[in-house]
Amino acid sequence: MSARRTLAANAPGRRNVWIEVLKNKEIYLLALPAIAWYIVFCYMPMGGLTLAFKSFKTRLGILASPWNGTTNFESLFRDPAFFRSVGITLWINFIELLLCFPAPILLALMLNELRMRRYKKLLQTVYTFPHFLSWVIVGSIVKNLLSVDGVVNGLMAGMGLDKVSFLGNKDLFRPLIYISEIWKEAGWSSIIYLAAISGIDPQLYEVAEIDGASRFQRVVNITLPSIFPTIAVMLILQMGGIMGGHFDQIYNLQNDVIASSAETLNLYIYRITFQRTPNYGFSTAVSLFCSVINMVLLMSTNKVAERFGGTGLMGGVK
Amino acid sequence: MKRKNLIAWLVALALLLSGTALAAEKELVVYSEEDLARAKEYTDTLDTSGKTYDEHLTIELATEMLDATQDYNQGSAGSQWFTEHFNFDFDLVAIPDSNANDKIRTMINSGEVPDVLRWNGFDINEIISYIDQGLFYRLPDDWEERWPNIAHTQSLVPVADALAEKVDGTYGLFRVVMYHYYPGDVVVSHNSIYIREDWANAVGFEIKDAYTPSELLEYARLIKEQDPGQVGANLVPIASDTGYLANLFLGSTYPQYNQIYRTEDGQYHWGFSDPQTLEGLKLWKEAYDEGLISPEFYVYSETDAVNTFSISGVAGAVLNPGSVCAAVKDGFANDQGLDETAWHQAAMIGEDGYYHDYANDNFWGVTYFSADIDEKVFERYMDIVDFMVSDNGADFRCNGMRYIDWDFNEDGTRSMVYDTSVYRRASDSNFWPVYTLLGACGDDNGFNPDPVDASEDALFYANQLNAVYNAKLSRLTDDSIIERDWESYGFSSDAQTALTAIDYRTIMANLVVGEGDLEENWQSIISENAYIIDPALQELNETFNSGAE
Repeated sequence: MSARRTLAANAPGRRNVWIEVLKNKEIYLLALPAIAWYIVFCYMPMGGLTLAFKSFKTRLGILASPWNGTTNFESLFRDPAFFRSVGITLWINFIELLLCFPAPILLALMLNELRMRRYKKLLQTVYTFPHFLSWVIVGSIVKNLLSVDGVVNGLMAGMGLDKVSFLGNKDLFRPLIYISEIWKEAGWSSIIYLAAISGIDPQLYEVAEIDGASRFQRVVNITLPSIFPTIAVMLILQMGGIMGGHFDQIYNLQNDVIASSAETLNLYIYRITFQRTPNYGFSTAVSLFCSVINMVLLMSTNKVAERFGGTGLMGGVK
Repeated sequence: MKRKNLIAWLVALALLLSGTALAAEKELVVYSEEDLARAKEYTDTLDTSGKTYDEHLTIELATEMLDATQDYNQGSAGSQWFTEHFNFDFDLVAIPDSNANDKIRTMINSGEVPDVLRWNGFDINEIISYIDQGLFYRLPDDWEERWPNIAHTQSLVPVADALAEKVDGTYGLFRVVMYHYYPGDVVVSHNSIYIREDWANAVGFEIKDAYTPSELLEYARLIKEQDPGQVGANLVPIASDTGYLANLFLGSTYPQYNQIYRTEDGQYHWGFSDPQTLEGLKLWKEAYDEGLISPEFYVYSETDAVNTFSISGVAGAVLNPGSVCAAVKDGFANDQGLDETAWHQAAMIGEDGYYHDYANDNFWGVTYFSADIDEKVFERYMDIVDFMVSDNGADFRCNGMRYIDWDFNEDGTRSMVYDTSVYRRASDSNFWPVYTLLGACGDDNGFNPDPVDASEDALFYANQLNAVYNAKLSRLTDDSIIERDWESYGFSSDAQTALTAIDYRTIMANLVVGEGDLEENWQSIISENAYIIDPALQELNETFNSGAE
């Protein structure tokens, strides 16, 4: 046992990690609260995942509730509403990846090119502000803007156009999700890319300028490649949430007509757990299923990112 | 720097002013010490249980409809008397009404049921499942003898007996709707149609005490064509949300449309698949396509709909409970400058001209107790409720306290003496809800206001409510009121629980708004939900119909 421990301790990779940790102990100390948070709120509740294989009885608690094998999963795979919500979730999230993921990158690149510092700051504030509005408020704003009696229809009527029911049109609802998502989050998400851009060596730009590179060429050949690791990490994290997300947004924007075609997995879990007689075992089975898919996607994307020369989530640490 | 100082001063001043305003608000609570002492002394004599309460207890109570900012223990003379006389205080958990069901379910399933839990909306199968799990307290076998007034209220609620039989004991106390006054032999719902009487007169539409869906659509067509209120493009002939439109087009004629019901041959059927449901949906779609209902009815909340009618004044009709007449009256008076002659309240009846509904269960909400409730706390709570639903308690709830709210005249009659500009009523509506939530609703008082406190408004509302009620009662047939199938009532299984997954609001809204042939779409919905319906029907037929294959 002790020989094994010695061997492990002497393994070059692991020793290097600990040396690094000791060297930067102050910084790691700062990370302690976050680590504690993850342990308490993310890792410890994982014990509750056993509920997916149990018939939960409140009086008995999680541990003493009887096991029921794979019954919850069998019920899950018999429920068409589940498969419908999986389809809706994947569709919404993959399109979001195409449309909404690049938006903060483009915004960060554009903001970075602004020369007037005050104007840049003002714009950054304006773009970041919507992030601090809850989806409840954004939902109300959107409804007020787009309802039949709303501002947009009022303007359209003023121009002699017919009124359009934006909120009850299933074809328009998904674009509405993407547009409201970009409006609310692009500014906030761009901060991380702006931070990455600020870390680029200015000499690279000076050299490129001397060599006659245009601003666009500098963006394409210096800025973008320099922030690629950040983009890769953000993409990997986004892939890790492909089976989730959008609860607040859709919950606050939906209505009786849209509900069935906008029921993502999170809304499905909410409905089966809180809006009807709850079956916590069944709900946990859905949640576990989603988490496993998310983990597989996250690890796959990480591998792909590493293969294409990126550093992946672990920053190259093996 | 100077500007910052100015802002700081302004903020401080605003805080000071708001604090002063709050203090001024509280000033109103002050009663004359002498009146208060006399009032308490007199009210003590009303509780005839003869019990004294030496030990101070705290009762934890969670419920909807409370305002978390109010002090219900000391807020009014009435609440002060309760807490002092019964020597307790409430530890209240105000559950927001908007998603109360979700929160209460979380509370129950996380094993955190408070001492007393009041719940308005629930599914009976769900309650039985909680009882089976031992999450609720079983009332002692002799509770009916110990608290006879409460027992009387429960005897007026048919479900109470059925549930007690099903779970072998009493676990919940149903809050009775009508218990001192019945407008008729049958308890029916308070749902009403509100229309613009002035507009109806202008377009020559007859004012009646009840309307069928087709008659209401005829009214909507007339005002859409003639626009008597000069509202223009903003006119909404009938403003209502999905739920109330379903009541109008489907429920008023065929209440089984969203139910599993048992026919005379003993077989169970799904009402949604019946042709009567399709007929109702066709009428609804017709109204939608013609622009007679709001183009975005599915976005409306109940409040939005009422506001469109009574505050904005752009709607020709709205469907809502009878009790909303107070809000309608206020809205018309305050926001449109119109008196009660501008609108008319009527009953909603079926296409055949008769009133149809499920037998009213005569309760609104149920009280459950934590399985871990302290016996002393339970008994104290029961004593409070037993007083509250006694004749004296009902009088107290309606009229308040002697010397504070009313006093005897020399001839022995009573009259109100309170002056709201000086102090709050003992049963002030701001502080009183917690007590009105216990045991019984005030609906019968709304129908039959106590002559002591029969204000002009109260009498007006009572007239409105009774008129609608009588309109329904005069249109009953032998099969108008559908009785519950008590045999299968509360039958709980996975297949029955799965039925709750069918979201009728979404289904109906999509059928009405959706493109294509309505009948084909309706058939598709029936086929799509067969995987939920068929096992549930088969199970019911096998369990409760011995003749079934």
